[in-house]
Amino acid sequence: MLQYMFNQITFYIALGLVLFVPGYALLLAIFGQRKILSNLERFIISFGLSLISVDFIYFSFSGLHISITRLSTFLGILFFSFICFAIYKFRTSSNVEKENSLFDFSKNQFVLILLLLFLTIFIKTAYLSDTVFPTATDMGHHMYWAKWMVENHQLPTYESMPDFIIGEHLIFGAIALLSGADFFSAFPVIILLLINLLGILTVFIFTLRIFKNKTIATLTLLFLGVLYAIASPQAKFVSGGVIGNIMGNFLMPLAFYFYYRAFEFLESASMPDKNSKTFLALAIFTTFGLFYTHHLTAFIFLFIFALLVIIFLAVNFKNFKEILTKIFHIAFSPQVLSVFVIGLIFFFFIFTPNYFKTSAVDTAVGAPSKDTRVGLTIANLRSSIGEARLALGFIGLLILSSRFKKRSFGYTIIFAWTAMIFIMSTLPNVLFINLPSNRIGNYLSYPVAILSAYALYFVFRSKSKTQEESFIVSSNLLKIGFTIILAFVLVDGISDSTLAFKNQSDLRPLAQTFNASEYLGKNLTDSDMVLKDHNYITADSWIKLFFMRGYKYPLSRGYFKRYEDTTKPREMCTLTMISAPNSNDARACFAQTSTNFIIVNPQFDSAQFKKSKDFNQIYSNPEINIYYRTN
Amino acid sequence: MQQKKIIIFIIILFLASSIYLFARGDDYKAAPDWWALSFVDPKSNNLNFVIENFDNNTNFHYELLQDTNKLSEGDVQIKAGEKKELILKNSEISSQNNNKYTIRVSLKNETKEIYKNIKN
Repeated sequence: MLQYMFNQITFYIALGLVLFVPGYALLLAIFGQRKILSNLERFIISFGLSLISVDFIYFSFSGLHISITRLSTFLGILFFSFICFAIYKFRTSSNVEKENSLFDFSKNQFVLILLLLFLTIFIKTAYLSDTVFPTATDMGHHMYWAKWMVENHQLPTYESMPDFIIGEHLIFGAIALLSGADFFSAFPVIILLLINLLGILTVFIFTLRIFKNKTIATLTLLFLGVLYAIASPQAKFVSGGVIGNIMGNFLMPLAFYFYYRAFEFLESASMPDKNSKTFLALAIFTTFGLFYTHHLTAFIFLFIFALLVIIFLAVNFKNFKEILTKIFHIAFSPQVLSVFVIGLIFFFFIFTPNYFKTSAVDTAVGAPSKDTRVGLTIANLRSSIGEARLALGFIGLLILSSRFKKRSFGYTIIFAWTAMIFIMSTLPNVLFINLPSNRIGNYLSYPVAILSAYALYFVFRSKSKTQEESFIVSSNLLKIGFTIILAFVLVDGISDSTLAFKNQSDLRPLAQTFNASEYLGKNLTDSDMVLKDHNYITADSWIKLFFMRGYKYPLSRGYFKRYEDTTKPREMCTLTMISAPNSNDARACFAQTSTNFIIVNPQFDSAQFKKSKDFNQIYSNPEINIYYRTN
Repeated sequence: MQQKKIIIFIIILFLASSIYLFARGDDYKAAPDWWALSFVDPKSNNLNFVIENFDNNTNFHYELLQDTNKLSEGDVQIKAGEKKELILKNSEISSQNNNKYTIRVSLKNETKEIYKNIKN
């Protein structure tokens, strides 16, 4: 018990050290105690900046050939934080700003925010209580690299595979190094849950800043946090280990937040101040963090950003020169340029992400090559985002368009964010995008949640002071209609979550896979090669964490349909060696791959091995048989 | 002050959630009602084997078979959560014997087998 408590305490200390301290120290160095950021913003942003800072600390280690150990990680974070703290102490910043009243909530709003936060965390936790176990395929793949980093004391090389990006694994490796947390525990899911929550909170502060309206921001918590709390890309992605998407949905809104704060001055047609430059520098820093964390999110971000710039300059065409002059003024400031140049140096000379070195960019652009990439239908979007939320979001988009403020950079961000993801996921041909459309469509729920909140507020808000604002909602009939929609949204959003709850899991197959893997791991020598089945074995992607002999060790018989995919021809040995181990093809494959251990589920793949005298059955439990090939 | 309360509330909720999930996440390690059978040395001709028990029933019966002929048998008691290595007499089978040697173990109504094909 004492050991358990000690482990828990070290985990939370490591969590704070990796995910909070560096970012908080960086904010102190930049803003001191100034009220330019509220306490809540400072708290949320600290996590995002920590995530990116730790990445850069590790890249520096890589550049300086410093081994990644518990001590070096601890000292690296401490050194970075100490420098930031020293800068903060050295600078004598005056605290002249007043606390922004934007973050002063009424009693009702305050209670509602607490209630929504409670429901958000409660629903997600309830779902995760039955899915927190180390079973998800993606999570197993990702944790292999985090464990690899811990065991090899260097950044993962990914064996030249472009699908993995360094930023997805560093914090897991760092926390495991510092706390000794077991990769086969709930710790990876808990970290992802935290990042998921921070993404929702970032959208909350972002919405509050853009609309300057506490009700809209609070409603965003309802639409993004409480309703559809389980569906992708929320708790299901947390338990499924879809790390890049979860992190991307934190870092992308954070980047938008900083870009908005940097160009907020455009709304009032005033001159930019030094805060604009600082926020732009932070926006660029966050953008680099995004590029180091997830290529798909970064790719989507680029498209959104391009549309954002086009729309903003197009609607402000008359003030084109004035706006460009102001933007150049802050873009070519020392703080912005220095962050940009340092980021580029890291990106191209110190640690270049794997996807940038390989053909990943080429494969992301071009005509769709699979039917999963030809675009989602509205029916697909309905099931992805939630029917009610999609409908309300669409209404919100219409209202936003009708009330579009040309000078509002925030409105333009929301519009571009929604429109671009909608186009990318439904009409990929238009933009020559060759990526799975459903993966892009998952990103739409974030801006749609903001628009849903905006639509709901706009209809239900109390009597407007100006005629111009009130004409849309003058009809009581419309309000009744929206009450029905709201009821529909609540029922749809909550029922979506209840449907996702699993019955009590049977944990035995998981324990049996790990027991078999542990047995085999102890008996392997360097010359042995293992083949396992992916179709019928629980948590099979985690088996490689017992061996730690390479990402592609053991070999794996993949989903049967993949062997029939004409768009991507692949080797057939992994299929043949399990499905027909006594055939001549299989014998050639065994000789070619040196495979001598086979892990299968006895309920599906046993008879073919029992028939042969070339195989010994050396292990048996209800879910796993292991065979040893003697010839 | 309100913001600090919100931050503290978030921290408390996250701590409560994560402590619960940590405890829950380890439940699979104690998943009950199953057992595993394996050879001590999977590669050699040695037939010594291990039973690892996660079942509340503890009375195992085992047999050593040469093809279909029973060579020996015995009973062993293994508590839940424990494993025991069973050392057979003459467990090292000569490679002169070209036979299939099977270890058959049963617990209540459930029987499992592991085997080695010994070749010349």
